[in-house]
Amino acid sequence: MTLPLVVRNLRKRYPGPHGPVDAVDGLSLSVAKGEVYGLLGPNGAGKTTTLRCLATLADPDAGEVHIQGVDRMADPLGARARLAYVPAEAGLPERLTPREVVRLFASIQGVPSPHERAEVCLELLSASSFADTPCGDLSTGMKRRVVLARALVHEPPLLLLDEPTDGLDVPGRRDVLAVIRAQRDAGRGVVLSSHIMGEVEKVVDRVGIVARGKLVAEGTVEEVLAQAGAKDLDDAFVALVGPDVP
Amino acid sequence: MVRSVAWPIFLTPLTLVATLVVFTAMSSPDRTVAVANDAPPDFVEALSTAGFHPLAVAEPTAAVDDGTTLLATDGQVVWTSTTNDATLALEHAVRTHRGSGWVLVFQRTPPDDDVLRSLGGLTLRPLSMLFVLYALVFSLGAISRDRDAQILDVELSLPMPAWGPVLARWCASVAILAPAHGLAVLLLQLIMPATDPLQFLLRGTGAIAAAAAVGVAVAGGAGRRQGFSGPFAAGSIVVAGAFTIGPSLPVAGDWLPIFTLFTDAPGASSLVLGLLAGPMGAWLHAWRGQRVP
Repeated sequence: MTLPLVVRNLRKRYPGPHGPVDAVDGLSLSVAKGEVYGLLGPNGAGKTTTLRCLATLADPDAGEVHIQGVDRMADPLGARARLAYVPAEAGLPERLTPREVVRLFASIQGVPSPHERAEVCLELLSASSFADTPCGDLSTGMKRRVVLARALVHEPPLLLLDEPTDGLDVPGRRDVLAVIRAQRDAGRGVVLSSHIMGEVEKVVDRVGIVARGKLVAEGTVEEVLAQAGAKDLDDAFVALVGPDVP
Repeated sequence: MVRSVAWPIFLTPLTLVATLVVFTAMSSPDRTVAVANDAPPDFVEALSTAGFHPLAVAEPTAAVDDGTTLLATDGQVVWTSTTNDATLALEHAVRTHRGSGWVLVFQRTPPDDDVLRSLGGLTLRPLSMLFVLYALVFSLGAISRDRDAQILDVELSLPMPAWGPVLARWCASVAILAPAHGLAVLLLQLIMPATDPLQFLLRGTGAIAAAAAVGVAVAGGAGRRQGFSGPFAAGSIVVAGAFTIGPSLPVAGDWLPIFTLFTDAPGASSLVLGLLAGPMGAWLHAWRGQRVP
């Protein structure tokens, strides 16, 4: 069976003020169909860089990435067609309406009947009621729904979500986590990056804890807690990588 | 953002329109002249014949003082609150009517056409330079704003070549700036005609295309969330370099967009090179963008 995501020995190095910085250092992971993988770690740990490499926004220096069996380096366009990247910011043009945005992305993705598909996605995310309001006038929670509708428009096998609950209030966070669960149930692979460990604990099937670009622990939440001898992921992180490690 | 970046671009043609309006108004000054109610009819007739519009008032000097008219006369003295040609023409009319011993003959020497056209050319060059700076700001702004809002990231994760969304922004920049530049050149032609304005138009459009290409190219190396000012400084250096590198390239200098703004080289070659610079800038952006944090 082809997995939505397979990553082997991923490396990404950036020039820094005091010499090269290994933003991602030999990271390997895989995500199965219908699995939510939580990529957890503090700010600066390399989560976003990892996601950018997976989303073809940054070229890795070494390693392999296969998106639904497609080699990301050999066929970046093929890989992009099989994923949806949702950045931490909404990434929505302020003057366009959600309906226009989702229709546009459906057209670019080559979805048959893009208008109908856009309506389905907006309805799925409960965004139909504000689908004709300019994105610039929407609340953070509404924007997040639109972003997810946009991401799901071509039914990608892999969802890459960077800090999807950042800036959301409690109801907004609950809604987003519900959408993530629904996508898992629909058989998609989801990679979820976050630094709010207690929150994603509620939705992930497996977690990988990242520090200094390395995967320092991986497994189900229970396995990671057992490995660290901790009672929650916050404590587990501190136990595994120390209190001050980015 | 589009509004904030677009308004200076259209401000230039608007300023030129305003200049044109002022020039037109100055070239045909108001020729209403206040005269006394009891002014002799033949004097009023003489003023009308000389192209003035006599306005009968109780006190002519008061009409000038309170701004009712710019000119007034009692048949002996001329009062004026302006210094344009109409004042001299009124003095001529008054002296002629009185049979003065000497008459002021106001004779306009038509300005030398070549000098005027040369001045027109000198003015067009910095005008096009303004648009070069606009092009750099506009294209760079279109990229940096959308990159900071992560709109560009989402577009770059779509199944299309990475240079596609960048090239679209370059095209939009040129599509907005080139007509605005053309309008500005046209308006300046009405005020101060230059020789062969088409070549100025071609050279200017090529320079705009090249500067917009510099904007998208330097934005690619700036990385995420690097803002506007850093890449703008780099872009400004490249554009300034393009202005100055020409003399060291005696043959190619005549083709180089941006530099040719200061030459009389045919504009077609720099236009073609400027348009080719767009796809190159987009490709460079895509290539560098994959390598920076």
